[in-house]
Amino acid sequence: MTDLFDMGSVGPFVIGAYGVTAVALVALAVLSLRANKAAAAEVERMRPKRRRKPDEGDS
Amino acid sequence: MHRFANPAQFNRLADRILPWAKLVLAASLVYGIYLAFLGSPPDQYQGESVRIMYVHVPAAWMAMFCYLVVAGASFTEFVWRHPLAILAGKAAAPIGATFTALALITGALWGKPTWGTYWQWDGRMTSVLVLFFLYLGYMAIWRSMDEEDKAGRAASILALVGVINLPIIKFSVEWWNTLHQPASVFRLDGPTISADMLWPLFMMAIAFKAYFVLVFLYRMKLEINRRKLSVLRMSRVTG
Repeated sequence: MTDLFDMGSVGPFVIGAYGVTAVALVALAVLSLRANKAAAAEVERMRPKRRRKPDEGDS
Repeated sequence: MHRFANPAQFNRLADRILPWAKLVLAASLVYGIYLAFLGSPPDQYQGESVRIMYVHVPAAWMAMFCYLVVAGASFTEFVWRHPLAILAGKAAAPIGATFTALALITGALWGKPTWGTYWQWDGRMTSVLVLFFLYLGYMAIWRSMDEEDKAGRAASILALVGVINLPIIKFSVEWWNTLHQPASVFRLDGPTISADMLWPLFMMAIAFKAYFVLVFLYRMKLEINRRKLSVLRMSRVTG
């Protein structure tokens, strides 16, 4: 077991490695998710609307 | 294999897998981080810096695995003309590039306290850097052409040629003098690492694999939606 706040002189290297990894992986996941949501919304917006049948009233 | 060539069918399958990928990712990541920091001892020689291994090594494994996915997808597209294969390569490449960059960065951060240098032009590090450039080249080709099919085919050729780099990465530590230690996990005579260190390593490897599945499926859905969008735009232009 290690003391997370006392890793000596290598502490910044260890925290840096985990920090860079976390930031990069979270950023890629968020960007991918947001791009997919935006593209799906755009597909939905551009998709031709289904025409109402004449017997479908407004009520 | 052509069963999942239908995008709607693929999306249904992806929607079924995604919750499981999230669950495996969360569980293995929490347990892996716990083992990496609290459940494993410092190394006899490297001390606390050995904890970098639990992100560096799985990232390096994933960098090579993602390239296999890209190359496999390219091969499938060339041979069977599977309509989703080319999208699979395009979806996997940014994930592979990210893991390769992480392997290089975390390796440099591990190298400084261990070897006294961030970088050395030895076989392993240079071949991984080449892998990173292969990913960048693959993604650049996709962006360089307006016609997606042509871009995909050109990028696939690069991906297939680049496969030669994978055995070079794997065996570079045996072929040339290097600061890197030789393989210590995947060996014919079994791993030479203590079980206390193998568990966090494998747990983080599972977490990274689950992350890949999760982001890969979202990126596949993204590429399918982009294809749909281009078809919809074309149909509007042509009237």
